[in-house]
Amino acid sequence: MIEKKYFELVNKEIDGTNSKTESAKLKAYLSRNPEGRQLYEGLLKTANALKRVEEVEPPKHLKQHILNSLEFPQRSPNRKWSILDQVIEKFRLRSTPRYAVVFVSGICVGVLLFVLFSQPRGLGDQETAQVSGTLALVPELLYFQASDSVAVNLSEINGKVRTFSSGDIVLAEWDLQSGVSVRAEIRFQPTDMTFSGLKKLSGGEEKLDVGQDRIILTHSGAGHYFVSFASHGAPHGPLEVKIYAGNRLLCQKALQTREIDSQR
Amino acid sequence: MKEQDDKELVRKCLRGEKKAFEIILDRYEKPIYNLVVRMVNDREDASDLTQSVFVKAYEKLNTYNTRFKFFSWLYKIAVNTALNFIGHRKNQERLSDDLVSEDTGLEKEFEESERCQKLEDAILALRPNYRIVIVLRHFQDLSYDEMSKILEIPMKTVKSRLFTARQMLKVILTKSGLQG
Repeated sequence: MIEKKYFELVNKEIDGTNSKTESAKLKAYLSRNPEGRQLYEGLLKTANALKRVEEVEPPKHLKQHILNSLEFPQRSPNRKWSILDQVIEKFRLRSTPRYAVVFVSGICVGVLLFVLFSQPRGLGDQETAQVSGTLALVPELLYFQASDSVAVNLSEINGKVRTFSSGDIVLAEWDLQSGVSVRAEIRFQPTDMTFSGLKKLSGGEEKLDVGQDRIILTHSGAGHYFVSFASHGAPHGPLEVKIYAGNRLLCQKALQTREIDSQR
Repeated sequence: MKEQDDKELVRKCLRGEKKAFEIILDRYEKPIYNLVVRMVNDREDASDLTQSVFVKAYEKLNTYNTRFKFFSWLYKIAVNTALNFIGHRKNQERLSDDLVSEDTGLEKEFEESERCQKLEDAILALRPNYRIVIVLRHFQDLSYDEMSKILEIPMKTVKSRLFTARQMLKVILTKSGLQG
């Protein structure tokens, strides 16, 4: 009976891959185990017999047959091997960057699709007319160009007022934190635009006074609003914004309402 | 060095350089043909299968990963092609089994060629899974590690399969009178 652990040594000895120590160990084992020695000698004879099997020459026509059966792309010998070609080829040859590129591309496509399909569609003329008065336009801010802004950092009031525009609509965002009652006066040229609505995102009770060329918005504490104006056609003038605490004027600024591109 | 050359040749092939594939053919046509001929024991079939191996390799060249050795990749295609072929030709294999154990008549007259034929028949008498390890180890001189990668089996399995294959071969050769 041959111990199992010596099978591998016999294998390796025949293949000539035993270390000196392993060979010596096997030799010692075989010298005291006739059955093992018989097995080793038999397998060695078999391995030696296999050496007598000669290599076979492939048929002479084989190479040409193979070449004939392949379709090699037609390529101009003068074609320059561009850097882009080399990069593409590296991706073709190496799976890791290839998979990484596929993975990243997949994510990009996914994000793009999400952005495209999760956002409401852009507003057509008809749709704009329907919704502009309601100021249900906040999600569509993506479709607006920021025009101007003013940061308010006073002891009583903090926050910002921004203007946006997109074709027929001008928006004023009103986002102020205050411990006192705030009054905002927004003046505009009636020939440029008409007030069309107010949307409250957050805040307490407010009061809105709408005139032909101005609106006055009064609210207590924090307030976040969007005021919308229907444009009579670009270019239109700025919105004159004044912020009061009670009757005290705290801040005054003319905010541009033109799209950034048209300002350049 | 040769392996680097292989990878360079693959790059050139992917650029459409026919000459590069001709060099690959010069390098591997013979070993692949010998591998296949030992597996299927029919030169005509081996010729067709070798052609099929290189056509497959060329068509899938863009899936070859340069982290691995080119020849391992090519041998894997060859082994699979040969094993698939044998799978479809099982009945003929059985016929060869019978030939191995009974053909003893012309031994003296054609001693050497007969001896070789018997050896080839003995190899053919092995089941394909055992035959392939004998072919890869003894005729292609591949290491256990290389065999493990080509056959996609653990090295431990390669060793045990090789040991069993040799024992089986020894029995067949003893039976046929080639080995005492």
